[in-house]
Amino acid sequence: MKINHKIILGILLLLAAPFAAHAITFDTDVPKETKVQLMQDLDFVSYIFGNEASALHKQIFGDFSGKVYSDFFTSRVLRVGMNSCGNGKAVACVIPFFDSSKMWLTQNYIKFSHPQIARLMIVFHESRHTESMNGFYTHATCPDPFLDADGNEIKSIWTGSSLSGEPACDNTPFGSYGSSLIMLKNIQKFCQNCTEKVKLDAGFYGDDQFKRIINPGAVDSIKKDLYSLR
Amino acid sequence: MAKKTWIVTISIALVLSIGIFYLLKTGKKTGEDAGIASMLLPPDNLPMVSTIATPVGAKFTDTAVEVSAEDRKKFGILMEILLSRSDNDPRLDRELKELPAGSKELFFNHYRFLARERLNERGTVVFLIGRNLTRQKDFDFLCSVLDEPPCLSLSDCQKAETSKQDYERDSGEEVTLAYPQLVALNAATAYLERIRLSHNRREMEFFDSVLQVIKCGMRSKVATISQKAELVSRGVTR
Repeated sequence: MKINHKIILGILLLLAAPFAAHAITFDTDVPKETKVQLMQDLDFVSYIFGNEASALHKQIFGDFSGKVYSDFFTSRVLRVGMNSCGNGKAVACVIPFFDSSKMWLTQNYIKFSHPQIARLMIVFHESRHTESMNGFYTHATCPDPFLDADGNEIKSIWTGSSLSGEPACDNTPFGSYGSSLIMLKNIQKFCQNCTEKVKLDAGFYGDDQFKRIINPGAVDSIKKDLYSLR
Repeated sequence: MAKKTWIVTISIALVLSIGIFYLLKTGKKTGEDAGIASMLLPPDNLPMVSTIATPVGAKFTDTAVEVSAEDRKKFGILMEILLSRSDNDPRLDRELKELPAGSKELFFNHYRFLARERLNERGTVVFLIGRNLTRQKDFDFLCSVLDEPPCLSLSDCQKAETSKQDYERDSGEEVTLAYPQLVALNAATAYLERIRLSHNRREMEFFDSVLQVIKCGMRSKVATISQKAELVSRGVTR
């Protein structure tokens, strides 16, 4: 009995293709479920497409295409491991002191019930922190007091903690908050093969990230880029 | 001839084995009804099903509405999508775009049994029903979602997180915590916008109902929801 090995090999390669597309090395202690979830999320973003992209998106990522997002991520994050990231609520982090090309995930990546776009936002945010040539895009200190457009203090509505004086803001559209919000708002506006839910979620989370941009010039450039096109 | 039969048999077995292995590996499971779905292991260690009785949605169970085979099929698709954690499944905008009353009954019922911490799953159900607002009880459902008490933390809605605040990494957390309510309010806002643009008579019938949903949002204990609802109400004119 002679089995056609070429056919079997072909089937196996087809099954492995989505995983092989990302050249990321996982530590052996990364649970299978976490690894599969990250790969599924990256696969999702790798096949979306749009026929337009905002100017800031072109500057940061390039055209609107899944391949662009995939390349952006995999050129920055080469390794993935597990870590508590110093906080019970953290989902992911980059610790440049250890390894600037490594992203650490926590168990919360699969434990918490975030929409898929929120998981992507978190890992793309962290991927920006791998950039040693850009000082890892460290955050700016939020102003004190930190007020929204209506003069209300921006704080956690759940714990009441104020963000004033905390390193939780960005001065530029190109940092971690800015780049991820620009990615999300472009998905909301221009993605042609995203579901209505994904586009709605991208708008929710993108708008939320915008609150963390504090420099008036940066705010204006993002507004011109993404909030006046509608 | 016998040799060929053997080769075909082994090939089928191999393909089936790979398929089963792949399904297990990716955690994709299917379920035809809530019973099966609730028995399936969730993809993480948050409970998929509420451990305490929750009144939300209870009044929406309507035995008078007939549930057809097509409704069960739609429900099975919803289960597959929720378990796969893939929000970009095109069936959301295809098979689940339009929901007959029977499908909505099954979806209401499922919402009721989902643990409160299953925020994305709950929000997905609200999203699907929010695209199909055709009866008073659909609006009542949105209102009940907006009336829910705030979810205090992603791991346990009843308890506020005690670990120290991590300002960077909790970014987006507030959106997720209020996700079902944000989706509900968005559905009502979109409905109002459609009325404004089209003056569709059928939709106008529910003008007061949708205003009531906005009012439910305004009295929400979640500040971000009540503020957004307040803004929407300011823009409403008869």
